[in-house]
Parts: sequence; C-alpha cells; structure tokens
Amino acid sequence: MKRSHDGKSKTSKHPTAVLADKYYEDIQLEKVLVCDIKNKKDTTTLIRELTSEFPLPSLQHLKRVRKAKTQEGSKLQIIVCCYDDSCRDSGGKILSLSEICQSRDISVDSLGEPCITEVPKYQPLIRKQYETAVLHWPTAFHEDKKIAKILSGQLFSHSEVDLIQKFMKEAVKMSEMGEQTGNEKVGAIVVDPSTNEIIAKSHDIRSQHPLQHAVMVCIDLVGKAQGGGAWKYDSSPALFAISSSNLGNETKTIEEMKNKVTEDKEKTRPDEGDTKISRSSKEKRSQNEEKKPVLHLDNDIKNETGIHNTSEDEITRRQEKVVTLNKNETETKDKATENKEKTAPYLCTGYDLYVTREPCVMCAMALVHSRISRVFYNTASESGALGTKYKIHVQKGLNHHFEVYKDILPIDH
Amino acid sequence: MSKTSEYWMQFALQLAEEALTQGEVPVGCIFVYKDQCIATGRNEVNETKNATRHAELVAADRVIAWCQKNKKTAAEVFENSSLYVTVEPCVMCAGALRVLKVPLVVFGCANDRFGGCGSVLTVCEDDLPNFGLKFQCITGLLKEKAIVLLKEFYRNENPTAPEGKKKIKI
Ligand SMILES: [Zn+2]
Ligand SMILES: [Zn+2]
Repeated sequence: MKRSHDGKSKTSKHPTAVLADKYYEDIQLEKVLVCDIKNKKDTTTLIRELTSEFPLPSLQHLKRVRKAKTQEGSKLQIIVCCYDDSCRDSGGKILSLSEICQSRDISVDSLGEPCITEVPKYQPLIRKQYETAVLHWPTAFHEDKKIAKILSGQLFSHSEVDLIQKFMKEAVKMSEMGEQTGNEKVGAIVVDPSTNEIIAKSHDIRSQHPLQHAVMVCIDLVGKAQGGGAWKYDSSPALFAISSSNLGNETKTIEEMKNKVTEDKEKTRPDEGDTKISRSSKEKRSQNEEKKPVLHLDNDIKNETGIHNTSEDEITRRQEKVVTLNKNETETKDKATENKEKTAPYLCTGYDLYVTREPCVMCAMALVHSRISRVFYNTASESGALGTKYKIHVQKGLNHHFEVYKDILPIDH
Repeated sequence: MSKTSEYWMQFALQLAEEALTQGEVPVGCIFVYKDQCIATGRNEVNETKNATRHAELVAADRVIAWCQKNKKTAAEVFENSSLYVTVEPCVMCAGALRVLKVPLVVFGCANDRFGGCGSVLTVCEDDLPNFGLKFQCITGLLKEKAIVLLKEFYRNENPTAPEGKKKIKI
C-alpha cells in the first residue's frame, strides 16, 4: 500500500453509493384511456366529473389533463379511466365512451372517442426517471436532494472523501494483519462519525473460528467497549476496542480491558429492560463528554490528509458538516438527541463501519441487528450481501436500513 | 436407541424458556451429532451487549469448544450435525449455518421479520458462490409452543404496544 501516501492525490474519487434497485430501474408504464377535450372551456367541469366518477388512487402522481401538440397547434387530452377488462367487449375491442361511462354523471358529449395511452405507473424517484416519465404524461416529481447528490457523486466534500479514505486505509492495515496471521485479508473498523474516533478495529480470524469474520469480530469488540462482548481473543493483540468509559483518552488492548469489563458488568446489569440500559449508558456518556478531548484523533487525520494550518474551529466545523451531511435533510434531530440515541442497547447505532471487502450475508445481517448507521467497503465480493447478491441494507421487510458506499480507495497495483 | 425429532425440539424449547426468564428473546437450539446433543444455545443479546448473540451462534461456539475437548475437527462435526431450533433462523444465522456447512436445520415457527429460510430471504438455498453449503430445512415442528413463548415475551416487553406491532422479533 505505497500509493497516495500524501492522501490528496487526484485520485480523491467519490465513493459510489449502493442504492436500492428502484433508483436504477427504468420507469414502468400503465395503460389508461384518454380522450380529447373538444372544447377547452369544459375542462374544469370534466376534471371534476371524472375525478368523482373515475378516481385514480394509484395514479395520484399524474396530472389529469395534458396539452398535446397537433399540426394546427395544440389540444387538451384527459385521462378517463384505467384500461382494464371493463373497457373491452368480449372480443377485446374497446367500448365506446358512452358505454364506458354508462349512467355516470359525465359530459360525454364534450369528449372525443377514447384511445389507449401508456402513462408512468409510479412517481419518478430521480431526475433521469422523471425525464423519461414526462415524455409519456405530465407527472409530479419531488427530487430527493440527497439522492441527487449521491447520484451525481457530490455528496461528500473533498475533505470528507479524504477522511473516508483515511479510515479505509486503517481498515486496509488491519486486513494486512489478518493476512499475516494466516487469515483472509479482511479488516474492519468502527468509527463514531460525530467525533471521528475509532471505536474498534478488527481483522479476519476465521482460521481460529469459522464465524469470526472481521465484521463479526468488530461488532463484538464494540460490545466489549461497552462492557459486554462474547468472544475471547487471546492471540490477536492487533484487535482493539475503546472502552466507553475511557472514550477519547486511550485505547486499550483486549488484555488490558478484561478487568474493566468485569467492573462495568457489576455497575450495569443489562437485564433490566431497555429503558434502564439506555439511561445508565446515557449518564455514562455525558460524563465522558466533559473530559473527552474531542480532537484527539483529528490531529492524525490532519497530518495524514495533508490539511495543514487548519484552526480548531475549522476542524470542528468540518466534523459537524460530516455529521449533518450524514443525516437525511428532513431530519431535524439535534446533536444531543442523536448522542442519546447512540446509547441505546444496540450498540452500533450512529456508528460507521469501514471494511475492506463487501460483507457476506451473515455479516451484513449482523450489521442490521447492530443498527449500524453507514457502511463503507472497498471492493465487492462474489457472494457479497451489500450490493452483489443481496442488498440487505435496503431489504424490504427488515426493520433497520443503512447507507452503503463502495469503491473507497483507488484500485491498487 | 435413536431419539425422535420431537425429543430434541422439546429440549430446544426448554432453552427458549430459560431465555425468557432471563429477559432475552425466547429462542433455543441444540446441535445433535451422532444422536447426541453436543451443544445448546439460547439468545444472549442483552447480557453480551452484542446483537448477534443469537441462540444458533452461541451454540456454534459451544460446538467448537466441544470439538476441542473431544479432539475432533469442527468442520467434520458441523458437516455431520443437525440443528434443532425453536424459531426459523434469521438471515444472519442462516448465513452462519451455510458457512459451517450444517446440512439439516429443523425449526418450529417462522420468523416473519428476520427469517433467512423462507420468510424474508432464502439464504438456505440461494446460489452463493464460495459461501458455504445450502442446507435442508424441516419446518413447523412444535411450532405452537415456540409461538406461545414469543407471545409471552412480547406481552411482558411492551404491554401497551398495539396488536399489530407485537410481531415476532428475534
Ligand atoms: Zn462475513
Ligand atoms: Zn439469528
């Protein structure tokens, strides 16, 4: 890993977001019956009548009327109803307008004969879909600004990209340790993006235990950092977690933490129900915040990313920007609320994971259970579950979703 | 004499009950190797502060410990074991069972919210190159008992939750 040591190479490329399939799909069309409006002054009446007699609940995104160009100028057309069996005779021929409208209260005489037209079935989600959709029929569109930024590769600023790459390089270092110890070359780190502190670092140790993939280990280390954890890691001194009651002061190896873990267990009995766990951790967290040197890790980042002469204010602002950009624009939660939520019993809430390789389905679902906030991975893997074989992070039916970005570092060799 | 599937599932249900008394989601499981129970597990999420400590993963750790003690290779033992679990393994655990190459999983009730053996995804049978082995599932064994325990848990957990929200969460 000799390349781009100065961290500000022109290769500062933007991470690629892995979005749900719906953002990449072509628009779907649906058939409706459309009639010309003979006299423009009847338009309001016709809209009122048709809206009441043939409501279109699944096509609320469409305008009822459109202006269509003709050789003479333009004409107005209106959607009468969805095209289904009730619009056809037994031979499959379209019924006449008066047959379709029957005894309904519709000014049939103001309309021309119906013809089948294809219109967008759903409201478009992104501009590209919108541009195709309006070629068919006028359609409502509310652009999601964040998604738009993601798709145009502008979500993260240059300094944010540098920071993301810096963390990924940490994960790469861990992966090398995994390889050196006879394991798969996978490394992972968990970061608190509100302080940019590394909470836990791990590498693959599946040679000892087939399920100890880097991500599973990292999640367990976060649990250890909070006084829990399930696995023992005697022979892997490279793995570490920051004990939550020492957050910001020093990092401890697992060996050093063993006593600490026992103490914490005595202080906080975890089996008293959710409310109590979060309250007691909240108290702990606020005590830490007072003594925590916030910029503790940032000095490293500053040096390694080549950002010099940055005042502390600017660094803080940058950190805050990272935090706000993480959040959906519609969210109005302040930072305090966010910190409190972080202390919920699911301990990766609000945290980011950096992992060198796309997680497998076990690891990906473990991240759902752990309520991770964002995942950055460097390269895809053939049975990966965050984009390749599944998209667990946006899987329908699951109770927690998270953001995923890939292709963080420029390709090696 | 060979024990029946019901016998093993009853055993798993006892572990689920134990989880319930500890305030954990009531799921229990056992690994059976050569007609012998070699490891048991129940949910330990709260006590470990690790949301991945589902019964199956807890039991898998104990299989490995059992192998060390009995001078067996874990791979051989997993590949010749059956898992009895009270609730359909979640997507994560189904992935783990593939990695371990456990050939047969017998479970009680479905896991509507997280199930990886048919409910949310079919991790057990999907084509996933270089990701363990597909496994066979037998479902529905003593499922009523597994459901009773889950309902009991959610009643205690959140008595004010509207009926619709009291879905099974593993
Ligand atoms: Zn994995
Ligand atoms: Zn599970």
